[in-house]
Amino acid sequence: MGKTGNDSFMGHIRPSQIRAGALRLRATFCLGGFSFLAFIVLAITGVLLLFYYQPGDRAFASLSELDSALPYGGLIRSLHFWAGQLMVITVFLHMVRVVWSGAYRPLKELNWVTGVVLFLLTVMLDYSGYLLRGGQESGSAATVGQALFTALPGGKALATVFFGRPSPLNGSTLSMFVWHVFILAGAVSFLQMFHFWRIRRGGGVRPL
Amino acid sequence: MTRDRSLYSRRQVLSLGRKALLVLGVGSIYPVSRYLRGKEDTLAIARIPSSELPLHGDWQRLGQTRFWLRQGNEGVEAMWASCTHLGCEVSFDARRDQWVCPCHGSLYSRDGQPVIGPAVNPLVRAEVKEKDGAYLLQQPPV
Repeated sequence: MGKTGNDSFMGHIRPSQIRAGALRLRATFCLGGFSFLAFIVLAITGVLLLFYYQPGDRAFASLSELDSALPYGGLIRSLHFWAGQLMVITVFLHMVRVVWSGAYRPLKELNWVTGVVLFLLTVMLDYSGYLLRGGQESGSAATVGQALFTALPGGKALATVFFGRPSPLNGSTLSMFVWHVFILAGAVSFLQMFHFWRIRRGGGVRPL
Repeated sequence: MTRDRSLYSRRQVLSLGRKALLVLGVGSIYPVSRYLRGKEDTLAIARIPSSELPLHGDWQRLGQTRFWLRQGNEGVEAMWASCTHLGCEVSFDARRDQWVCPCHGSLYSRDGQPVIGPAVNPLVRAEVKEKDGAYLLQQPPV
């Protein structure tokens, strides 16, 4: 692949030259692209939800109001939910495709590792989002998650940092909110940029 | 390399995508602005024209809601009639001058202070706004 014109930021986003085969749908099935699209939808609807969502004891009540009383509130919340489900699925299928076509091999091994980290972050985002709903199911999920954490060495401290102190009736806490909205989402957006940049550095996509 | 069998060139697809984004962006202005402006009035759970509910001195229930209103010294007051023990609906018994919870027998004074347990916390007041001749109420954080 020619490097001409690909070194600048814009050059990476819209390179003047790419492999013709990489454009074929069968090369990637555009699964990474779908994941990124889902992430953009999540970011936009997530910011909109921040205007009304109240973490902690008011989580469930504030979301009920959002669903029932706010114009288009239910739509925005549903978009956030379904984009989240879509992202977990497409990220997983994206990994399957990469394994299938052997795209984790040298020159791309760093991007594979980055991708695995991104997958784990995506699952953690999905889980923390489930807790932030603040329903009874969130409380149960928080109880299970805390128990899993405490099985790790030093897990008790880790669980406190991650969960705060959720009541078993309502998994939503301020700590979980901070992780979901700032730390995990921020880490994903940063690593994604690196991930995309490495695609070109690693020689682009080869067709299957 | 690949033969060009496609209906559209890459450039055309990208320009189509740009146009679609523009349409989506313009189309979302109205719903998003409705959503962001929907704060105060729409979040009010109850909205009752003041003329429908002439207030006298005692607590009176507002329609089919858990809000009870009365004319206080400093304007209209509202009580959220949920027991602070387990959330059953309490009602004001004018004869006994107390709030009564049917579930576990908690009693509150007329100002909502707990008298007999199991409830230990006072009843929660709701904020009332009078706007355009109507009472607007929001469910208080409980």
